[in-house]
Amino acid sequence: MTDDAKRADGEDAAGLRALRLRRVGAVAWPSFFAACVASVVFFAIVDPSELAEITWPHLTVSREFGYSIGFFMFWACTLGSSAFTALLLSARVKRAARERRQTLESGQ
Amino acid sequence: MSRPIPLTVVQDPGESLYAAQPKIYPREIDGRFARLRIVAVFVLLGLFYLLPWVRWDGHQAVLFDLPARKFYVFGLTFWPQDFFWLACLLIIAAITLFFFTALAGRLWCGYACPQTVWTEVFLWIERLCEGRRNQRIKLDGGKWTREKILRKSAKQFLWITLSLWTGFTFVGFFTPILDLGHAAASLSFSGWEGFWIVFYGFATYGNAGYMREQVCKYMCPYARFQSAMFDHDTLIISYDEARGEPRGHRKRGVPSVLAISTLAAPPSALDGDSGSPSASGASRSPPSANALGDCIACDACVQVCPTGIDIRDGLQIECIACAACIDACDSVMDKMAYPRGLIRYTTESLLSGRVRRIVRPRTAIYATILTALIVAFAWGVTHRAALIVDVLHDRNALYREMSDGGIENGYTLKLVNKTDLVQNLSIALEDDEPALRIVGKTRVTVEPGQVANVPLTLRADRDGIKGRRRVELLVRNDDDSIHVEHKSEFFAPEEK
Repeated sequence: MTDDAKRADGEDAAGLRALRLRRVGAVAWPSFFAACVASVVFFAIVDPSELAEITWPHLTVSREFGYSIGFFMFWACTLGSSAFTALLLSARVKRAARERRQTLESGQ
Repeated sequence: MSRPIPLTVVQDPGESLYAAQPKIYPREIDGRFARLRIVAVFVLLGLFYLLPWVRWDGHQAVLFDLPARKFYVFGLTFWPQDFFWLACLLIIAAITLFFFTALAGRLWCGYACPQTVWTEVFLWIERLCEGRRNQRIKLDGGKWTREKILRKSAKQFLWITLSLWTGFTFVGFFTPILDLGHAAASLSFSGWEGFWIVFYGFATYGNAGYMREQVCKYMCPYARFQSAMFDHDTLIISYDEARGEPRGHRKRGVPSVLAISTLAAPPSALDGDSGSPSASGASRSPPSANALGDCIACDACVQVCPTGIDIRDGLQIECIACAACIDACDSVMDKMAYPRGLIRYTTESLLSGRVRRIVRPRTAIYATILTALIVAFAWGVTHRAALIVDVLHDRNALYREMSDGGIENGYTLKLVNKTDLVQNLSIALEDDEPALRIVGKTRVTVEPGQVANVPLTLRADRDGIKGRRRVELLVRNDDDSIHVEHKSEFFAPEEK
């Protein structure tokens, strides 16, 4: 491997890492935001301590705990959904890139 | 002999999601817009850090008391039942954002977004510990000397302290900050308080210390859809290509193209200020003797850009409209004795020689909706009901048949006293329904800000009522200043 090729390879790997990180950010941040809004709306109407009474009355659940659990539940849902969307889209993007490369190569 | 043609892969930097981007070291800049942002930072972060400590009528002035499910905003107390107003407030905030974006572009991004203001403060700390741009680049590139370790640890210490204080303040909006302060002094947080302080602190540290412009470029949804609010008359930051190009280095004393041009009036940084002509569009004069435009290719605008773009390439999605490039370019223009405004706040209309319209359907519609919502909100919040009455019918049985043939329905009355006074309330049936009466006590006392759950039984005499009957309950206080009616249902067996 020449030095240039090595450098290009390293850059490519760093680029891929950056791309992955960016995708994590693009999934995490909007889903966090959506979970915040959902929690505000939900807990404005539902009192977590009343919710605890009708779900697990034998457990003592403080309101703070209820809010936190609720928020993370919402975040898990939005995060999961965003992550699946990212996964589905990235497969298509990869395939499109591969097909394009093949067309380019066959055209040469 | 054939010679290999030198080939380089050309990739549009905006398009290349692949390229690992080098760390951006924005150069510090002083100027009117930088000072404006400093004012914004002090006002907004000042509000954030100080507001929880302000007292009002014996309680924290602004407290979204989640454990008690009560929101205090100065003199107003909000209950979960007032959620409607909170939603209304959020909608007002969104429309305000749309309105200002349509009017003046990414004002929010450049001056008010938490990402921007905290990044600014984190940059100040970085500058304080590691020096100016060139020193920072040198420091990062250099070996781990004693000085580097000291400078880096000082920065980390200040960053982490500020982040934890930020997390503490944030939680202080949701649990009384004085209690939280006592808990902090003895390190006896409840688990969740401690968790959220660290969570929010860590988010601040990561976003403002490391992610910075990456958040705006790759994570922020608003950055992507704000262009929907843009039109030809929205303020954008733009490089005056007609005046600046062709760019190039030159000796001092070469006059500006504007000085040679017949349209010598200097444009202001805000085109709207004077409506003065620029060298844009068709108004460009014949090129100056050396055929250079006013851009001296000093790249100051690129070095100060916090997102690392070149504004001279045109409007880009990465541009957060912080106007650092305007400040940088203005100071260079001053040194060259050129009129300011080679990079300036302008609009697409102005750049193409048309007049800027501030009042246009888009802004008019946003303004109308905004005004209507604010008026409705102000009226609604000041005219909220002092007492909330909820009548819940017994869930377990529709009715009970008594031994004497009478029918009873059980209810729970939920009375929320939203005033700051003790309320003595009486409960009565609104219609004069001879067949129906209240069994048990009809007077109840509710403390200020408390919720009373009152069991209530309605009784119909034998054969008095058949099937379903609508009943109306009236809850009032002694001087009738509180008078709330509430409808419910009374159930009895159908006729056989």
